[in-house]
Amino acid sequence: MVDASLAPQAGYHRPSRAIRAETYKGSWLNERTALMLLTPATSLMGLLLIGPIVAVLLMSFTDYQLGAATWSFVGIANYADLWTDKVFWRALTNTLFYVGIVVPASVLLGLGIALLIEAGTTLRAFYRAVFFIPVMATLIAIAISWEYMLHPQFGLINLMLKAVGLPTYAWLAEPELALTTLAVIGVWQLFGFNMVLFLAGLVSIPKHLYEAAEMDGARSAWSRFRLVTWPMLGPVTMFVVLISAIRSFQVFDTVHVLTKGGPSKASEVLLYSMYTEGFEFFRSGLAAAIAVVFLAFVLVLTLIKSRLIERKVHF
Amino acid sequence: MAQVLLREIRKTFDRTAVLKGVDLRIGDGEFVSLVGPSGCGKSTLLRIIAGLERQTGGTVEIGGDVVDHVRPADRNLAMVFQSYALYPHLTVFDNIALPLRMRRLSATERLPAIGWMLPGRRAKERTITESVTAVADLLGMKDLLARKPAQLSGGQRQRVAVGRAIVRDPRAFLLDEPLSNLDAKLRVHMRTEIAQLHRRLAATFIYVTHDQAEAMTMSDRIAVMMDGNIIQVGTPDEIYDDPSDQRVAEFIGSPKINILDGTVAEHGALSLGGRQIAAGIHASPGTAVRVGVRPERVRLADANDAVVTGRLVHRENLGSEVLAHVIPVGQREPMIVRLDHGADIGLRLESTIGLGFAENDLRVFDTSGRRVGRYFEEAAHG
Repeated sequence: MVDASLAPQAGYHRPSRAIRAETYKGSWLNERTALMLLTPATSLMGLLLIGPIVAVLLMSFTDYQLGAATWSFVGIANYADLWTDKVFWRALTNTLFYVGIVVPASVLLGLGIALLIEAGTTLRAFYRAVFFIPVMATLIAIAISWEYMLHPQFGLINLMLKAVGLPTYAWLAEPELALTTLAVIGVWQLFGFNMVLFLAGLVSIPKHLYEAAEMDGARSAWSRFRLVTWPMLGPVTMFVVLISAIRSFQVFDTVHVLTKGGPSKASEVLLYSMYTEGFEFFRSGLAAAIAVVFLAFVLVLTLIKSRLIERKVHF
Repeated sequence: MAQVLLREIRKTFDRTAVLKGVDLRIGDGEFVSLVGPSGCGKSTLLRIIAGLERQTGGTVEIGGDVVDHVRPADRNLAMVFQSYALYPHLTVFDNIALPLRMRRLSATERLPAIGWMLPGRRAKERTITESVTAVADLLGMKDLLARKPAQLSGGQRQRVAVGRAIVRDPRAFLLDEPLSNLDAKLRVHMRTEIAQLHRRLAATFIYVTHDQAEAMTMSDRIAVMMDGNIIQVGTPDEIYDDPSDQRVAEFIGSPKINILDGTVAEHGALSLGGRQIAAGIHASPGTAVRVGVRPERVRLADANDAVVTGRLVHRENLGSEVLAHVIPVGQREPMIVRLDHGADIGLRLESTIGLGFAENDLRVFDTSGRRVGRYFEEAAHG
């Protein structure tokens, strides 16, 4: 029995060794084939992703103007200009302020609503759809309806405030209010997306953990949340925070439609500065420098995610 | 520790009856297994005892208190889940310490950072550490305390789940198929460990399993469940030797009990494919019956005292014993005969062999599966 079962195995191994030897002989051919097969993907990636980034980086060291026939390298002059430019600093701090409101608010709101929907028994699909509508809507189009709603004289919001006897505001025209108003619209637009991600995360938490928590004496909803929900949502939360941060760094459309960066630069943000420098003043080199600063921020966020937090939330 | 009493427990899910009125008394310190094929309602019953599922009817009593409207956290039971349900973000130490922290610390004391500044937190934390260390010692996993569940093997995770259950002093332990995710070798080993743990803690254990070997090896008593009912409760010996139902006889024991078709002959004798043996059956002649005989109770017999003869179709050599598969003449199902090592010498496949068994080793059931009474059994039971 033993001999009979071993013999065919030995015979089975021998040809495989021969095949391996053949593979070595033809290895240079294999390598060439592999490289050839990689070419389409690599060239597309270079053309569409890496190429433009390198181009922008290079452009930020030139005085190129949109449509100009000549250009020359100016070193870090564009960055030096930005360093001394009050509007740029205003745009940068405004963007950080906007991110600082939109990220925590949209993440917490998304999580809270996801928890409520998950705990509910009826109309869950309805609530999911309703809260997701702002995400699907085109922000430019929606921004116009916000403009009407926020209109100082006949806007719905001020009419409602007036009806209950509260003071009214020129939401987009007052320097102290404009950016916060934009941030509220940003939260409104973003939290539905976060909610959907949190809902997916909640569904994937094993029910057994909640039962174990109950048996272990976690009586209150808060202690179950602390013990099971929050840690188990760690990876989702990290992803949601990162995506929200990147998306709110990119704020542009509402600024463009509603305030044009005003009043008196109160709602000037990075991408809007880039747009005006590049497409209104045609200073492409300077716009490229702003784009590089923007990219650097996004890159730092991504690095923080992958280096620091990822280790803590995955177990 | 406490006694657990179940009265008329019923459970229906969307009009499907899962439990159809279960009564069971589990004594203080007793190890009772709920065993049955999947879908028999055994896990549902355990979850009803735990309070994780609300029964449709009937009452659960733990230590004399009716707990029907008491939430699981307040029933003071500990449970080991099939999936272990360890908290993946906590270390082994924190996993085991958790039930103590939940019960001994107040909500404010449990707060991160702030909690440690409160007076008394440190002292309480010291007693918790002592308890956790003692449990880790008992289960032999002191050097695993700093690890996270993902860094543990299946057996180690199982041990942590047990540790989390025994670290406090619950009124009963509920175990829901705790060994089913382990490999065969480890399962046999853990069987011994859990039985020893039960002896050491002298606690009430309620153990759900679909594996009859686990139930047989660990339990004080076994409750066999089928289709939402407990059909027999007894010690492992009673269940094995004296099954009240053909389904119990077939479920308990490996290899499975042999079932032969027979008819009752004159004077309570039994006719199996032509031959008759005295059996003392309480039934009118001509009644069809099913006769069970355990594989180890069947012996080889020569032509003149064989009760049945059959063709040897297969032989399984397990080393210490040999299982012979025989297709008996005049029967529908093959029989398995358990022979001692070496007793099969001289038996050739496809040859015809004779099999015999003693009258006492037969278990007779009617066609609906109920046990049929016999004269000598009644005499034995007084």
